[in-house]
Amino acid sequence: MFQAQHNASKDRWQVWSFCAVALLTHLEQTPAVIEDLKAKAKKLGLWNLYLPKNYKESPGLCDWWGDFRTNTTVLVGLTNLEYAHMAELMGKYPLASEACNCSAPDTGNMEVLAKYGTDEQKAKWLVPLMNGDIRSVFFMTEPAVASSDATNIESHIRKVSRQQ
Amino acid sequence: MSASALFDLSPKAQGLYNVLKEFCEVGIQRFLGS
Repeated sequence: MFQAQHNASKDRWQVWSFCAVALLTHLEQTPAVIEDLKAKAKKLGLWNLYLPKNYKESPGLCDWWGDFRTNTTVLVGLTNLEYAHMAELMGKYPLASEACNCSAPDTGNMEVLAKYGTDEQKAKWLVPLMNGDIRSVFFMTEPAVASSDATNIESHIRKVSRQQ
Repeated sequence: MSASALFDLSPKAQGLYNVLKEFCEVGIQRFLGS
């Protein structure tokens, strides 16, 4: 089957290569407009909507927000159900999630940092992430473990004491 | 159909949803269409 597909189009890989290069070139360049959109989203209170209201870092509850916090449209966090509607809407428009600082894998990484991070880790990574100043990554590829399902990850950390 | 017609969103969440909708449909779509 694969061989049949492969042979069906001699320029299959040439086309793929062209598309891959064009796409990667595009992806490596953040559209200039994204910073403008982020600024507008912040001003409208459309920022970090993913963080549930039980987090003290949630918009409206955190001191990090400065002038942004005084914006009357800022909510005190959404429920997961409420955020589902926002996520569905953002998913329909390219750039919307990033413009609102609600794109993967940043959202999940910020939740982990907010829930489990030390104050030092939060200051170093969570604050700039929530401000939209940096992006983050999530490595999940491992030998003999398929898919991008994070629950499949087999790596673990074990504390080893020299005194044991 | 508004979001509140599907689920009982709080008034604040419904307001934010409307702001987001306009932001996406007008702000972002204008950029993508240009």
